[in-house]
Amino acid sequence: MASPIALLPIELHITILSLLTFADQIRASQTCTLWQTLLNEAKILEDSRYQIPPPFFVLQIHKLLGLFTHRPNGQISMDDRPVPSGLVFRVENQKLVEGFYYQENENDESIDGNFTNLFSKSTNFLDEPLFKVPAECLTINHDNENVSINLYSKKKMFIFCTEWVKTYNLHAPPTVKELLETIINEAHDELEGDWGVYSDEPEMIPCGLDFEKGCWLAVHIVTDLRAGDIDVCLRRVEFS
Amino acid sequence: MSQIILLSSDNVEMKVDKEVAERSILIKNMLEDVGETPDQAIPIPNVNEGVLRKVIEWCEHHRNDPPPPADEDSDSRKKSTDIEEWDQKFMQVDQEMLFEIILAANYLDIKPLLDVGCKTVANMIKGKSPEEIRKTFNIQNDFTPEEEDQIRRENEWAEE
Repeated sequence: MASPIALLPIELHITILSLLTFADQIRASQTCTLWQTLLNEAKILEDSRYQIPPPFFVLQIHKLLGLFTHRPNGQISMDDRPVPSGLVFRVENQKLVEGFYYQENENDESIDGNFTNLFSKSTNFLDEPLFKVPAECLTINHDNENVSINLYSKKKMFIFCTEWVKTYNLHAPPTVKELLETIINEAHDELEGDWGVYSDEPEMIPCGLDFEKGCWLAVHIVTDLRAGDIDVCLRRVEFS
Repeated sequence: MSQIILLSSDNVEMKVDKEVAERSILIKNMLEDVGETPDQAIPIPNVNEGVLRKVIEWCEHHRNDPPPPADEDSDSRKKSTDIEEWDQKFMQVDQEMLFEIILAANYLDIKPLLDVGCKTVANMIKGKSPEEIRKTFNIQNDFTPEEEDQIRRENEWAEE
């Protein structure tokens, strides 16, 4: 029996696939070559990789790197730490060698280290820009000045953070890979292999981070809407 | 209330209120072009009787709906797959009918009905594995063995 869905014209396939969440789109792309092609080449996937920002914030951030969160006091509370999905990647010799998109299992209470719902092993997204600037938002609040965003490497969250600042021009955003490699290199220089990684408990677990041997890191981005900063939070993950 | 006659692809005539038929932008434009209410049946060559009756049922129920909001581009609207209860029940049909309704809504240019149809299909995809999606829609797996292998390796990794 032929599939009734095959009756639909291409544009309706695109409409339907566009309605899916990113995770569903990844799975749908694995069902047949038509959907794989549409999702990859009709730019549906790419478009939904960027979060439409809440009002008053000018950037669309690459979705793989986490969720927006609103931090009225500039603090991240333990309760609403936003890590239901994000990117986990492997580092070797200070180079990013592979990355996965993951989504946390909703029924799973542990926050760290459980990546039961891993999706794409495709690394295409690593070469996509970290953020996009919606054309119509460009003038909001920023006159004609060059707007810069600050990327903080927030290691040892909640206890202290070592900060460094990178400035990028809005019109020349780094790719996801460039951002992550920059962070890796900064972290390496500053910390010489000793790194604090937080667990689910609000205490630090010191552990060595050996970039030469390779390790897995998860990353998510927290955006402070008021300051316009992008904070990059990294944590080490182990796969059992 | 003036009425018009629609003629399905299998030559069945159906009398409907003009206001109801005008939920279809195609018919609305056609009637505007003609100027006055025609006595002749309007042929709908792409839609058979069963599907046309379903579409008219939907138009009857939604005859007094306000026009859709203008902010169509907003993301929340684009991504939302919420469907109102009556429409959900309306869409509980076999798949062939579901896709025929979507095609008819597309042809007749009934945007809200098309939206409901596409959302219904999207909801049938949600949360399913690739294999489950294929089963649901009877989609043939047309990846080459190499591509299949690649996908399997990725999944193995994920299931560790």
